[in-house]
Amino acid sequence: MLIAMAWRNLWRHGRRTFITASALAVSLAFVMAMLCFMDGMFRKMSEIMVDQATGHLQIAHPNYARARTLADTVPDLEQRLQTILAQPGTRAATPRMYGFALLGSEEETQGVQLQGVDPQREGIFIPFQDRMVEGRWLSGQPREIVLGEGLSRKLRVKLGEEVVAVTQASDGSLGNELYEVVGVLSSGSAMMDKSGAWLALGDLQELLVLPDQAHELVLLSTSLEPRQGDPVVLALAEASRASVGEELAIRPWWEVSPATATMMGTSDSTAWISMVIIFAVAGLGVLNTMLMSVFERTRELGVMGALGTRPARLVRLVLWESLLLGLLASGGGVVLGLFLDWLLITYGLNMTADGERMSSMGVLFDPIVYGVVKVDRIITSVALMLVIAVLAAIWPAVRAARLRPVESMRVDA
Amino acid sequence: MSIVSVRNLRREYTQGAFTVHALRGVDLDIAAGEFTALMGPSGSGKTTLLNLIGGLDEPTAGEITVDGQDLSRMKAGDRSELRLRRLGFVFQSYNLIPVLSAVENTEFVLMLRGESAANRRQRAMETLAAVGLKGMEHRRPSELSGGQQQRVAVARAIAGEPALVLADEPTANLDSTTGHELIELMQRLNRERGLTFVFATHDPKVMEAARRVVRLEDGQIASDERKGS
Ligand SMILES: Nc1ncnc2c1ncn2[C@@H]1O[C@H](COP(=O)(O)OP(=O)(O)O)[C@@H](O)[C@H]1O
Ligand SMILES: [Mg+2]
Repeated sequence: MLIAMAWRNLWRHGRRTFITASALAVSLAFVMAMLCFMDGMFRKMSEIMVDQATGHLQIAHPNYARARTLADTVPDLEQRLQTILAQPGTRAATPRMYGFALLGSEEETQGVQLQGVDPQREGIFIPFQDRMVEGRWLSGQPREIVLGEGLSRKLRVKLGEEVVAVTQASDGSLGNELYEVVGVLSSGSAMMDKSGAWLALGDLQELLVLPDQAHELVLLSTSLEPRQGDPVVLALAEASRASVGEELAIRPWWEVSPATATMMGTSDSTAWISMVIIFAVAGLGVLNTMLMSVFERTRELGVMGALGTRPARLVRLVLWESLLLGLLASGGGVVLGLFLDWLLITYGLNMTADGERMSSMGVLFDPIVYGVVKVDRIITSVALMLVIAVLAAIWPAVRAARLRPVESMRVDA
Repeated sequence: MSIVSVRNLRREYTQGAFTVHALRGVDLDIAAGEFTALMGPSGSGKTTLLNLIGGLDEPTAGEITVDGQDLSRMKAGDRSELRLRRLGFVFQSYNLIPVLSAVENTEFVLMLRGESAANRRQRAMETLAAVGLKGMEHRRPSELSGGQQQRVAVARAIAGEPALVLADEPTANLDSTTGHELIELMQRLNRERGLTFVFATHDPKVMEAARRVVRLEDGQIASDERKGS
């Protein structure tokens, strides 16, 4: 009966209720769209800054992360890689080897960071094939090299020309080798574009005299957007520990790059803050409506009190009215919000005027961000809106309960 | 046995610098089964007295005992409970809950008491029939005439079988014929069910119906007459 009363009370001023509910619904739809867009951003950031940069897990020699000594490698690479790939929970794995070298063309010489990669496997992590400015990505044939865009300009080499790499190998000997430039790429990282060069892992192993070794084994778990402390990543770390034994270090991405983890974490609190602010504004509308509604019913509430209605029940009546108002709004809001989400998922939002890739903190992003819908986000926003609707009605409800029947009934209807 | 016992009751309202003496020492006993009219001109203190007996207000001085309970010693919550369990109220007008139908208004008090839905609905239907509103149970107050609304108010007041029904000028907003019919209804309920009524009025015609007439003047009892029969 209390709920029925609350419901009917809402419709005594149908238009006012409708307007207030609409404001709530629009704010909910807006919050849903905002979260959908932000989650699209997170997903993209996560892809670029985690999946493509650090991977989810890195397996390396325990000293390598600190000292970056050439000889601190993962030994018995091929066999380890096979075990890792075979274990459940590994979405992808690839070995990487790093080394510094002087790279010389006919005209220029530059210090470069060489990356030895498995051309096929690396492609799963970073879509290098799509980032070629000229030529093609490594084919797996020996003696091929791909240069960063800036580096190729500095060396003034053309496709098909040869460059010579000179370096000190792990055994102290002087290593040198000729490679054919097969491609130039724009990696997405300004630093890598200026000084990075990619070649097949086998070639770099040979140059540095590190057979069947690599500096890192990089893994992806099945988690799409691994959060800091992600249990899926931790489970994979545990499985890998069993696969590779005790002598290697296994680090999740948030240990590899704490700065990235901090950034991804703050993105989440930004979402919460925006959500609370938007709903708080809508909540003020609810507060106003409920105050008016209680004020208009002073006499009636006084009569209810005179008949022996306990204050707690009057509080509940008003809170129910506000909750029902919120439920009404969430129906409309979710429908509108899903429509906006659908637009964001289907068409995305172009973040630049000219459609160029945009750069943020040295990382290039695609100009169009596509939305990502998460059911738990929708549930959270609806729940938060309902909580705010109820909170906004507390003051009016307490006012209703504090009315003294004698005085209220003196008020003329 | 008296249902209401009032001793040396005073109620003063302070308004800034000066004080209104609404009641200046009232003594009154009302026995179970009585049908008492509280007469007196506007401002004589009728509403104040009814509110005090109904536990809606607190006296400046004096004692009030209702249904064996000393109101001056009770907390607001307990007085509310007493109103709910033992008292029925009919106010001037506009005192039905507009969003509830006649039968829902009637069962409201029973709902507050926690009675089961089926039980209270049956009681409310019976009570509405007793006040002559059969067939109008599902109308909202806005779909009823003033006289019908006051009948619903009476039904609500008596549905819970209270020890005492307090009515403050229940006919004030009704035309005289309708007002008279309402008084007759209350009289009949008093006769047939032994319900105790105290009602305030300043309508001399209503007075004729009452078996006991208490006159208030300027916050004091000027006369207290019982008619034979
Ligand atoms: N809340 C109040 N504040 C100040 N004066 C009041 C208040 N309520 C009643 N009074 C005064 O008390 C006196 C008695 O009022 P009331 O009991 O309402 O009389 P009646 O019901 O007989 O017309 C009047 O003079 C009235 O002005
Ligand atoms: Mg009065």
